[in-house]
Amino acid sequence: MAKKIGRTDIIGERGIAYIRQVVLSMGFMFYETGGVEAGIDGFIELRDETTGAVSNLLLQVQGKATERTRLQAETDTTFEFPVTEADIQYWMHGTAPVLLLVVKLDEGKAYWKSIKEWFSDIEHLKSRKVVFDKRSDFFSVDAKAAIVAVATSAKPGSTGPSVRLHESLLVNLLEIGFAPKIYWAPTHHHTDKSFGAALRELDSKASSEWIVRSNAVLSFNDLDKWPWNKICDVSAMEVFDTSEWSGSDDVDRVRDFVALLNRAIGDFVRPDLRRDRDSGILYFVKPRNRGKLNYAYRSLRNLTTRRVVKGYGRQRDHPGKPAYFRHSGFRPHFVRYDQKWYVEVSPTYHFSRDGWEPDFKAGEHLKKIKELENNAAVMGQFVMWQAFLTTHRTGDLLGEAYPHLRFAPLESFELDVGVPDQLWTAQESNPTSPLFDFDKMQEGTE
Amino acid sequence: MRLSHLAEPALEFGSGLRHPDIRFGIMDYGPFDVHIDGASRRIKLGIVGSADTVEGTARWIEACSDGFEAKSSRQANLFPRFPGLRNDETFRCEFTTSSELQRILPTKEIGRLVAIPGQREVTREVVSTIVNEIAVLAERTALPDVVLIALPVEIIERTVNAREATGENDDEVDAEAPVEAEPGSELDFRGMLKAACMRLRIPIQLMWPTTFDPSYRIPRKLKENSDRRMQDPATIAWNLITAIYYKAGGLPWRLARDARELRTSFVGLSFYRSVEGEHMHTSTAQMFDERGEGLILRGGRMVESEEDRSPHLTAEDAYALLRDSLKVFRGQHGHYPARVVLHKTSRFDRNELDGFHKAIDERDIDYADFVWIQKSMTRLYRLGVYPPLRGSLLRFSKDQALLYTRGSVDFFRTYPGMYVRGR
Repeated sequence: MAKKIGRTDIIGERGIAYIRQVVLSMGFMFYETGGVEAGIDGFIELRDETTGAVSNLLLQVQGKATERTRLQAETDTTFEFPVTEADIQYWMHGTAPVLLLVVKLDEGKAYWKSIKEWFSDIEHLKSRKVVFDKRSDFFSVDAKAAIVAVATSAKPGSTGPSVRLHESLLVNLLEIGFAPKIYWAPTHHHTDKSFGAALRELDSKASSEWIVRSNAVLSFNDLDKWPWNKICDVSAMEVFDTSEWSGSDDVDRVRDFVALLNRAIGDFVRPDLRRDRDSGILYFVKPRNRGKLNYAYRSLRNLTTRRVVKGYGRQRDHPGKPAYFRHSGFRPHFVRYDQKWYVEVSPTYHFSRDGWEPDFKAGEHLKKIKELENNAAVMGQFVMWQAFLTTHRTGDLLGEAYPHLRFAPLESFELDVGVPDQLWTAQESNPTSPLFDFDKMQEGTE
Repeated sequence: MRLSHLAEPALEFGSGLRHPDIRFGIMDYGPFDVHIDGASRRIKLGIVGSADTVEGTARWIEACSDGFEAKSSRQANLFPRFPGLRNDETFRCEFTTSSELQRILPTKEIGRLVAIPGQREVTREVVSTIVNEIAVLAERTALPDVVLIALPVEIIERTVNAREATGENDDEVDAEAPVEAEPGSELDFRGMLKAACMRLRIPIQLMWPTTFDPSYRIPRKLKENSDRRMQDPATIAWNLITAIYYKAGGLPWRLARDARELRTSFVGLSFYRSVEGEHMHTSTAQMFDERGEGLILRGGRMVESEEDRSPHLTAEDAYALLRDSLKVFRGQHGHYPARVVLHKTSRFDRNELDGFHKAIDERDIDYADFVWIQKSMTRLYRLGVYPPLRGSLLRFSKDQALLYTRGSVDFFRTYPGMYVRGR
């Protein structure tokens, strides 16, 4: 009579083989219990993939392989797995974390659950079943960070191997290009204010890429042209390469150059944005006849729109009118890194009473919204400003390109470490609480 | 530009065992100096305050001995329990106080102090009153190792909180500007108190009544500070007891170093307005060697540079400062360091570099790093809820870089910035 090995044994072996393959792909070790066992098929030992160091951080594994095409209460997103009272007793009693792994052989997929965590909920314990979420409980190499978290959570303070996560980051810098020449000419005006007044008298629309320093005007504009030639001494005019300022090591020269760039960006953003005199913030102007403004732009992936001016609250005396307006804005800061110039864009908001006059409660409003905005929200605003600055006044049928300043986005940066957001938020005591980029950390002990 | 990430450094604890976190390291292995001969295994604490705050603070020390449960949370690495100070747990060291080491300011005296008009005047008077009390303790045969200043609410309102009442915003401080204190402000109060106590050679630790009794309400003059949340008792105990242990001369931990690394002396420079003459600026240098000890050296007079209007040292003062600091290093180790790292918060000017180089060349030191640290609004954005990891490093060039010293931390599995607050 022929010797036989049962079909269920083969199914079990196939399940273990599958588990072993996934565990090894994570860079971890898998040790099979083998022989006689009461409900634990093997152990996972965490191992640092980069150094090869093993940690003695262990996870117990119970595999359940099946050829069934449909599991209990299976939907597109979930299924149930019933377990016996004895199984639960056995698993919960041990010292190491236990993973229950259900392997669906026909699909070649496996799902995992940290048993002690699951049954720490009294309702789960009563029902004696484990409900798997097909998406978040999918057992593949991507579950590595979560598995490390389970292993290290068994003993607070233990450290697992670092999990490599590939991540792309943006930096809030846009490289700038500027006019190649700077014009210099003596003037009898002593201040920006008096020169500006004289200039506007000649031409109310004259642009403002100039500064007055010790009885001379420094400008991106050709001073030999009207209206500048009327108020400065053109016979003594000199033309320089901009690099004499942009590449200078002299602190005063660099300061003057930054002042010129600030004047230029103020002109560049017109007519859509305006500068707040006190804060230096550039913000979207409220349309004259509407209470809101949307801005459409290309974000990282697709076309999108953002509400950039909107009224909030209502006035006590005129309930139909908003109490204040919120304008999206940013603070530009010109910096030089490694001989290249960039504008550093810090997204923020401007608040006005009627779209024009500043709101005296601006500080309070700003604090409130910054508390609600996390890293992703601020990044979204930066992406909008990047789109604005790189597409605004670049020249089209309606107008010429702005000649004195242009902006180029930086490539994103790649990093092979990162943050598993989902895993971390799942462990926050209050997952809805905002996480700020804006540091509010107070002093510690001193 | 190149983006990379500096891994969290390992810290060393008792028997040289390593852990990335201070609290778990101390809990598991004891403080770094636990097996080092001569390290104090008993710390005597003096207390100065009102009848109420002295009693409360003494009670808090007692409670620390028993320990505090971990905050109820799923973030076990961020909020560990404080195991207590008895039975050789945690610091393997006794923290004691007794009525001989305590000084109580009478209610009447506190009333007199807070009634003094003028910010500058009240600060000056409070500092001198507290210093007098510490001076009395300094006369005792059994000296306290650290004096806890248990501030009564009335005094906090008039001194520590005073700056916040002026409506200044910390975030908006110009990074280029030297660290200076407004007369009578919080920084000024702490600075004046610390400077005065430095002369008495007794370390101090400020304590708020909310530490021992969270139900204390400290009135806030500004609305925006009314939502200050207190930390959980275990976290408070960890922070304060670790600081006290260090101030008493203990070494709770040190940065793990590779034996192959160069022997390095780290020198930090800072500038401040001195207490006595309001117009005179002085600088201090703090030197850390690889034992993790900090030694305060008093520097020379500061001058304003013509280059960038920040405080700077003259060439002679810079030279003298580093020369003395290297001597101290030699006194500790028997030899000069192979490498010197100088850091400060303003640009190094020509005179300073000349002076430092002279001292470095004099000792034939081959490696010198001049590090200028500045706050920046350059930000990295990642596609997610959490900010980038602490240690993210964007290099602009050979000598310019952006480093995230605060950010998300893998060990805590969160961004700790929003949790760590309060006193």
